[in-house]
Amino acid sequence: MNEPIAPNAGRTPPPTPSALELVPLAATASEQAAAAPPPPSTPIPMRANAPSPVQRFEFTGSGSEYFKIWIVNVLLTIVTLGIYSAWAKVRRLRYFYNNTRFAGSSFDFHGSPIAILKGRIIAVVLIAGLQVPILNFLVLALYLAGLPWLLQRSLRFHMANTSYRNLRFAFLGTVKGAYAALLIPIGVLIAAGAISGLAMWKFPVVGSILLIITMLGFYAVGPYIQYRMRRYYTEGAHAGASPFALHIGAGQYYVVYLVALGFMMALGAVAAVVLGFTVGLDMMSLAKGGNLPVGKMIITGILVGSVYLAMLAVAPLVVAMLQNTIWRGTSLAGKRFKSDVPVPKFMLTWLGQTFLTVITLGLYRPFAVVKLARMRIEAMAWTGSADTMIAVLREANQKAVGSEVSDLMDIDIAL
Amino acid sequence: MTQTSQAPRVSARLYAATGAAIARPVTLAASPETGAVLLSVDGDVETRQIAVRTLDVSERFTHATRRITLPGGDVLEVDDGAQLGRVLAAAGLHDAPVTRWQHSWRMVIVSLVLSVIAAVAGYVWGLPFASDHLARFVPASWMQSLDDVVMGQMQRQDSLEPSTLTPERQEQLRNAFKAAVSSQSNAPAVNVYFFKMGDTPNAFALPGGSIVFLDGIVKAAPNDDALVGVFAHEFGHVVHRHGLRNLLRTAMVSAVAAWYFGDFTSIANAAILMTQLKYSRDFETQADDTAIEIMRAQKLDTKSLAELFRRMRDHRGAGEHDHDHSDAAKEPPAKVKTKLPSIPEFLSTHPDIERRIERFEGATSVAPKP
Repeated sequence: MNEPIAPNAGRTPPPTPSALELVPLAATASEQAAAAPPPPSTPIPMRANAPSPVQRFEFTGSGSEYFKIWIVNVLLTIVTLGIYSAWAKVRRLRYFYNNTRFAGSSFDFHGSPIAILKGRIIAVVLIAGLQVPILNFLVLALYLAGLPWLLQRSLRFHMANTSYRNLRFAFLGTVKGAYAALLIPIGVLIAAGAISGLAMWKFPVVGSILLIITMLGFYAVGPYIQYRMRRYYTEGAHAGASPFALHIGAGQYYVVYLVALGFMMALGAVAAVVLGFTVGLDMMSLAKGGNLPVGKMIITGILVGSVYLAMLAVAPLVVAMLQNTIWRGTSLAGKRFKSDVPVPKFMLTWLGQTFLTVITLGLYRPFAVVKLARMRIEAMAWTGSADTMIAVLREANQKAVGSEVSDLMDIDIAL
Repeated sequence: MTQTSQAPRVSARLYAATGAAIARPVTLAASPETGAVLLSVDGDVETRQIAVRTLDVSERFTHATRRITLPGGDVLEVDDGAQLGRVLAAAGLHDAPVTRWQHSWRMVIVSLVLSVIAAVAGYVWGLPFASDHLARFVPASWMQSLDDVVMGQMQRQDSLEPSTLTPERQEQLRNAFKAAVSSQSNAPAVNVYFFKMGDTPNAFALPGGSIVFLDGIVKAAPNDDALVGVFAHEFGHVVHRHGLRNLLRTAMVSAVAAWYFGDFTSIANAAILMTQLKYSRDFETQADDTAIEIMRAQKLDTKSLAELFRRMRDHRGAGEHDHDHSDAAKEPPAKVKTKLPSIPEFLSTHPDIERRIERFEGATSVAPKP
């Protein structure tokens, strides 16, 4: 749904955590949607008087409608050599926000396309810089060093430009807070990378080993970095003057990633068993002077290939499990959210949608995006009552008005 | 002001700018004569007339609630977006052109067809054209410093060992090379270096104008004319700035792939790699053109170059027998990859070697002018 920057395209400096994690943090439509206050008791005498204990989110968008919007915007983007993409992004966000409903009202996005255009130009320069062989380490270091600042601006931009029933959200996290949250992990990463790079200069073998250790260490520390970023985001986010709160620890992130690892290993074991079994049989028949059974080899190839393709489903596994973990542990004004994305069904759906997208060379993508967004949004609910929501919204009006909406420095980097 | 009973109207919820998000039911009616809408709060007798030009209306999506921001900051939320469209149209405010296109299947199909055409055209012409123009703005001194860094790196990693050719032999070759391109106008400055990389026969050019010959190719050459041909090929790379243009093309393709494929980075990488290979082969062919052109101008027999390539192909076939099978199985027959272990990544892969040999053979059938 949101396209992250892909700094790895074409080269492989170690993947940065933030390039991936900025997606769920900085304005995934479902998450913005979920940061919603409960309905007030309105003077309109049409609702049942007893408020239901749980209010669900709804998504009213359709794949075919989004396809039409998408293809027209793709053409305009190509014709303007990419400049229109900023307007297209605003349109996309408004489509998803306006179609996400909570208690009868929907959300809205107010960001200016110019701010988004600025962010995209920065991203293009970044990607270009990462292609140049020696320069790319410098560019990567600069990106990592400036990342907390970019993150804070991006979050502030998105939250201040999101509204519900004429009430703006706000992000009050500071730049210092972003550095504090990310400093240690990113600092250690940069230091380790620099040391490995220098070592490779003089002692290639030792340096390569160090680099591998650095990358492994990165994967081990990754979930913790992601957790710190989520904490920073949640605690800075406000609906009016009420902050959101996070009630989970880093441990729950590791649980999700360990499940993902287990999934991959289980599939890998299946593939190894299938391969070993058939290869063993072939060896036996070869030894007896038989011919190589080509047909069987092809079938084996297909089976093993399918297993490896199934491993791709680890991505939706992580997405679905993390959404459930995070949102069940998030509260607003003391009331928790609920998230019940059905994980296996989500994984299977994702695989099918990806397959359709690939065989249509990307043209099916708008349908896929809508289908997956619906699954994620309609799994969410909030346990707050009407009274709680009124309290939240009443406070809002005294404090949040006039926040950084027109700040010229607002940029948006989550592509 | 008259309000006919046929004037379209729609119900909405009003959220005041200073309220506490409590909805007030309102009705919005068109007033065509005045180009305004009439806003009446349910239960009130008064109506408020607002010119449509002052309304900030959200775009029409089929099932979404629509939002109107009134001057003053109040917001109206309308469930029936289509009916709102009729009210606004009656008052003189119509959908933006882009919105209309998005709701018209005809425009959608037109967009689809044009997008596909534009994408193909961009891939074949647009991207190369743009990146090549950009290449002119990069200063040569940058590229030369990059060359020094890369060669230093390769020497430190022991990929490049000192050449076993005598200094006299190196000088002899350098002079032959210089003579061959002396007639070229505006020839860029090139520096020829000699190194050894095991017994690998090859030569490569770096973007800043450094051309490296490996001992293997010097030894494999049937005569010095063939080496002049190789130099002319590498010279072609430098003259046409292939190293830099390849870098820029890759960068632009990466940006486009990231935009289009978004979440699916593995597919994006595959697409980028395929594009890289295609552009590389184009450059190699252009460098072969330069080689033939220079050799003919110097009245040298291109058959010697064909012979040298044959020897290199056989050397590769003998030494890397194990790899050839898997490469041949994976890749379409039209291209064969020559991959040396530590050559920097931005150097290209080549067209089919058989075709190149044939080309060099055939090039001499054109008799030099008397």
